[in-house]
Amino acid sequence: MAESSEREGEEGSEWYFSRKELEENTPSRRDGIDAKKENELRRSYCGFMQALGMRLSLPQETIATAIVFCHRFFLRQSHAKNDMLIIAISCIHLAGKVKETRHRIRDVVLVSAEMLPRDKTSLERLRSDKEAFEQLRDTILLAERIVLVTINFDMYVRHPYRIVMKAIRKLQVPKKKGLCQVAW
Amino acid sequence: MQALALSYTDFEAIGTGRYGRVFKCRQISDTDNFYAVKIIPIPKEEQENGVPCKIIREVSVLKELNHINIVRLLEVISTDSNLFLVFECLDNTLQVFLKNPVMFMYHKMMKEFLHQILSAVAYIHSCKILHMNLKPDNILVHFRTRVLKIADFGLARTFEVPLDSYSQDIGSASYRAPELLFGSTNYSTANDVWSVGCIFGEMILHRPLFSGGSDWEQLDEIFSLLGTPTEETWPGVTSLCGGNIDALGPPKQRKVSINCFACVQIIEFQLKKLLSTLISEEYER
Repeated sequence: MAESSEREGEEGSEWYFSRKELEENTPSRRDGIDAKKENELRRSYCGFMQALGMRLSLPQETIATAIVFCHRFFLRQSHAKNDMLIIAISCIHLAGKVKETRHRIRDVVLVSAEMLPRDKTSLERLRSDKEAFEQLRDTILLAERIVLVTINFDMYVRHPYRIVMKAIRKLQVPKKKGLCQVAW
Repeated sequence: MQALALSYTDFEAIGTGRYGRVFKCRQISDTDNFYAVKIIPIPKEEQENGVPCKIIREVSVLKELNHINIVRLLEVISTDSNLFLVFECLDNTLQVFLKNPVMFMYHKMMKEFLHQILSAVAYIHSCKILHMNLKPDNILVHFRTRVLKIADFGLARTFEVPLDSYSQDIGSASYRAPELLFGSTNYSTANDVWSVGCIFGEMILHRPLFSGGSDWEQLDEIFSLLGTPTEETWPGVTSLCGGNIDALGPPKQRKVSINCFACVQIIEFQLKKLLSTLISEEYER
């Protein structure tokens, strides 16, 4: 991490890592999680966030931003010490705020509670029991603060989507070829 | 405050902004430099939603900008009930300069100031960000080096983010572009350019170009200077004022020409021309 923060200057450049750094030198690796396992975890939280975001009917750009926040977080923190899913939920909440997608913390808590691996009874309890609800909410908010500090409030993400769309329009690719969908 | 006192000391209040107080302070480990800390309280009712949206937006904008004429955000410290933004500290605002006309004796300086403001605004716009609250209070000046820095991005937004009607309050009325006074929510870079024009006018006149009261008084004042717009001089104006252009009152003649500011002898021809351009009311500025 020390090396990465020294390379500041060019905007966003402290978030560029070489393949070697990604494979051999992440915080999770130091905690004994091997590269294969971390890749698996990465795929798993991406899938979770995509599904959560879609159930909250957030725009794709918001979901993508959230996923980038989550990647950034786990480049500085270890999977061994943080609950991946809680971090993922708080990233979704945070991205919603950055992109001003209006959503309520209540919805985030309830929808994500449904998706968290729990048994049915605890979900029922969450709906009726105010205390259990608040507990989960506070955990998510605490995680949000941890994420903010960890990613050093760097919430600017430049997505390729709009550029790709523009290029496709410029090249006048026929719509039916579905290039847009694939590129997205 | 305790979180802040861990690394900073010698606090001295220097102002109260829209969202919180600002203090001047030094770092404990290095007492040579001054820093400005903006304390943003997180209201109780918003705590349940986590860090408020508008603060997140301000921080993310500040983090992204990196320009000599934009105030640099050095550190963010967050606690349950407050957020502390640590900035580099400058000793004056442009407002102070404007109140002391003596300081503007040399119009070379005025040009330098304007150039710095314009290059900062151009940079902000190139990053797809609108400042939306440009005014002399928000422009900091380093007295000795004459370096200007634009501050307070509390109302700034990116082009891409859809706008909600709740964020209607945009900047101070005196520097607000006419289309916004009409209630348009179609924000664009032109809004900032208008504000720069107003600030420039104020540098020349040593008083606000438009003193502004209510939105309508402000519009009236603008039209007294620029003439009441018509569909010809400003395409789309009819729909802006709700289809009823007569509501603007009896048409006024345009007064702004290069001669309008003839009373101010020290201004060069080109500068006068630039001023007229900046505050011309056509949409496509």
